[in-house]
Amino acid sequence: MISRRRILGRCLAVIALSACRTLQADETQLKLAFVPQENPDKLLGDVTTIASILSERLGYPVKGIVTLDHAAAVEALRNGDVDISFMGALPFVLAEAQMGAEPLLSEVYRGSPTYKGRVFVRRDSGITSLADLRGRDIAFADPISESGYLFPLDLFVGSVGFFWPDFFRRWLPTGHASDGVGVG
Amino acid sequence: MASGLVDAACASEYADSLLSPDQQSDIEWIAETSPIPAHVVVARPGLEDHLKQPFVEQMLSLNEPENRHLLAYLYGPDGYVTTEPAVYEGVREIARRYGLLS
Repeated sequence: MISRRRILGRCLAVIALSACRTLQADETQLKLAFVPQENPDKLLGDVTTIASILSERLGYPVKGIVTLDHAAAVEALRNGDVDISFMGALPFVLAEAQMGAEPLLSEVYRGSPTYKGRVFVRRDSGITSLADLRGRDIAFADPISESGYLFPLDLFVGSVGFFWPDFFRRWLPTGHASDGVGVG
Repeated sequence: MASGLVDAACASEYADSLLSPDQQSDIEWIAETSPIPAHVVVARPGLEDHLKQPFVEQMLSLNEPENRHLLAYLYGPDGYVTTEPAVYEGVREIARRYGLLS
């Protein structure tokens, strides 16, 4: 026959286990980092909204922060300050090399998980090739940008064998990968 | 560049969509890079599966018609697909070429 003391003990154990589970559930949360793009103010509002929606759907708190830049997002991942970050492919491979960060999802645009960088000119400029840009002024994005810096750099080196400062007259950094097209 | 401050600008193929229609008609592109993997959603090392998997499922559910409006809150892609480390080998190669990776 099971004693009342043993039943009480089992009950307390069950209660304690439930409490532990509740505590564990309460502590579950996901922290997301977002890197600013062309409109940081809008992004801040967007992050709050999407974190709230994900939180509701996942059943635990989801918090979103906007980092200062890609480097800060990588650092936040490394420190464990965030669990997941949205970032470019170049910051990702750097984060992967530094800490073993894991790629989960890729954005898709117009049906493709890849896109291209382009060198834009004014139609009336008379410039028709990369070689025509010798001695001209050019705008590049931040060096962490794939489409606005790193891949175009490789394009110039591969096509004309030169890169700034030898090739261009002036090199204008523009920040975000989209800014240079409209700059000025 | 569209305003004439510089002669050329390097940017995403979608950058000109940020310009006014008049500005768009004033510019053209003369060279294009090889394909670049789109932005990535990255997990810190050791993120537990019980957190990672439901998150991935929720993100993929944004591809469904009834959820697609929510993509506007995430930089506005057309959707998400799962990805893997091999996809980024081209980026690693070019990063090594210019001393960003050892």
